[in-house]
Amino acid sequence: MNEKLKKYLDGEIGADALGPGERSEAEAWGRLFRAMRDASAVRTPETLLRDVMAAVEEESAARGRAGSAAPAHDRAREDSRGERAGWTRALGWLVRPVRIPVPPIAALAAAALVALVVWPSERPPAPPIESAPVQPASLTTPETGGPQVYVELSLRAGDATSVAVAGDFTGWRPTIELRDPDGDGVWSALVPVGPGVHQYMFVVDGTRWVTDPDASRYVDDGFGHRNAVLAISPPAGT
Amino acid sequence: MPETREAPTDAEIVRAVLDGRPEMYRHLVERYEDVLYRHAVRMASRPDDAADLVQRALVKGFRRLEDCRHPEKVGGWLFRITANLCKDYLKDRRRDEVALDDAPTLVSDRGDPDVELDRGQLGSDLERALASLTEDQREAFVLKHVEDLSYEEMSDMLEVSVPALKMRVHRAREELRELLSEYQ
Repeated sequence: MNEKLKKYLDGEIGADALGPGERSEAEAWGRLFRAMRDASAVRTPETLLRDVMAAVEEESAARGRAGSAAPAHDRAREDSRGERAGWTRALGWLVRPVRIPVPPIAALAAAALVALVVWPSERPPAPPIESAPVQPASLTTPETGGPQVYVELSLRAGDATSVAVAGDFTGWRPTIELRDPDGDGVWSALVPVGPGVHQYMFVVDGTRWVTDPDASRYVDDGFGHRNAVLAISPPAGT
Repeated sequence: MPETREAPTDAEIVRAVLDGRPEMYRHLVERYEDVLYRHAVRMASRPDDAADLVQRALVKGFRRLEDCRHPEKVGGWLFRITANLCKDYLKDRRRDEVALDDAPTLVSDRGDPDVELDRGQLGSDLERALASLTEDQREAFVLKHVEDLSYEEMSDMLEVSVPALKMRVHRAREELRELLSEYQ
């Protein structure tokens, strides 16, 4: 291969330094590179995260059973985690998988029930979102396929250009977008979630993770901050 | 005022996992699965196999996380695990490869390569041309010209010297040039 072309392809000189013949060959290489990029422009399978975390969970459980595999610093943290573990146990009845059919038409009724569970009576009034119709959230992530209810989540973020919610019900991907159609700075969405205890955070402008200031419960996120907790009881009569 | 924070750093996530919070590994998976999968597809050319390779790499990364000497660079560390698995996979597959026979039909000046390639799967002719490269050459070529990294970035990621990488890329181009010559 021509030395100039080699240097060009290695990024050492610009196209201006090439002669007509070299430039033609450089363009052919460029087409090859683009074709290879296009051919491999595939989306990461949605199942990859789930499969990896299932294996991680299995591995962790196996370490737990082995007893000796846990690093010393794991044990050092046991005390601090005890409170959370106890709290989780207390809500165990909510976490246990329950297969409950919820017809779509019952979603609003279920949401009313959820509001009772999520928002205690002493909770301050919800942000003034009545003036703007709340748009159903766009679900772009796979859900469990089980029964779901719709929970209204909102955040006051006047300077934001986008707000999304990420939680265990989205695989912690910020894929459920909140909307602020009237531009009053209050972003909201109806978020479909299944019965159980869920953790979530808002993601503002794609990078800033924000704890829901109006959540009734919080849990340590492992990084010195808190995730909001959403407890969804099964719909009545099931 | 809402409580806010920036996304946790790689080092914070690694520390959390090693401190007994394995579920935090999810953050690393989310952060790097796309780049790892893209590389695996470009190396293996078969999306299903690529997904399997990345899954194995990420699980292996979890098992060996304590061996990661620079938690702030755990992404590069996971990339190396993935890249090595991809090369092992290619070595295994090479045993079953048939000899390169048909003339390549890709990247022809006569047509739009975008049309000639099936999205999501490297064209079979190009794949056969790439299969003629050694695993190291293919890796270096893909990183340099498909993933568009600089030699310095590649060197940092693969822990291979820049001159050695340049030689691998050069040899890969020479090999491909010969195989694809009638289309350039």
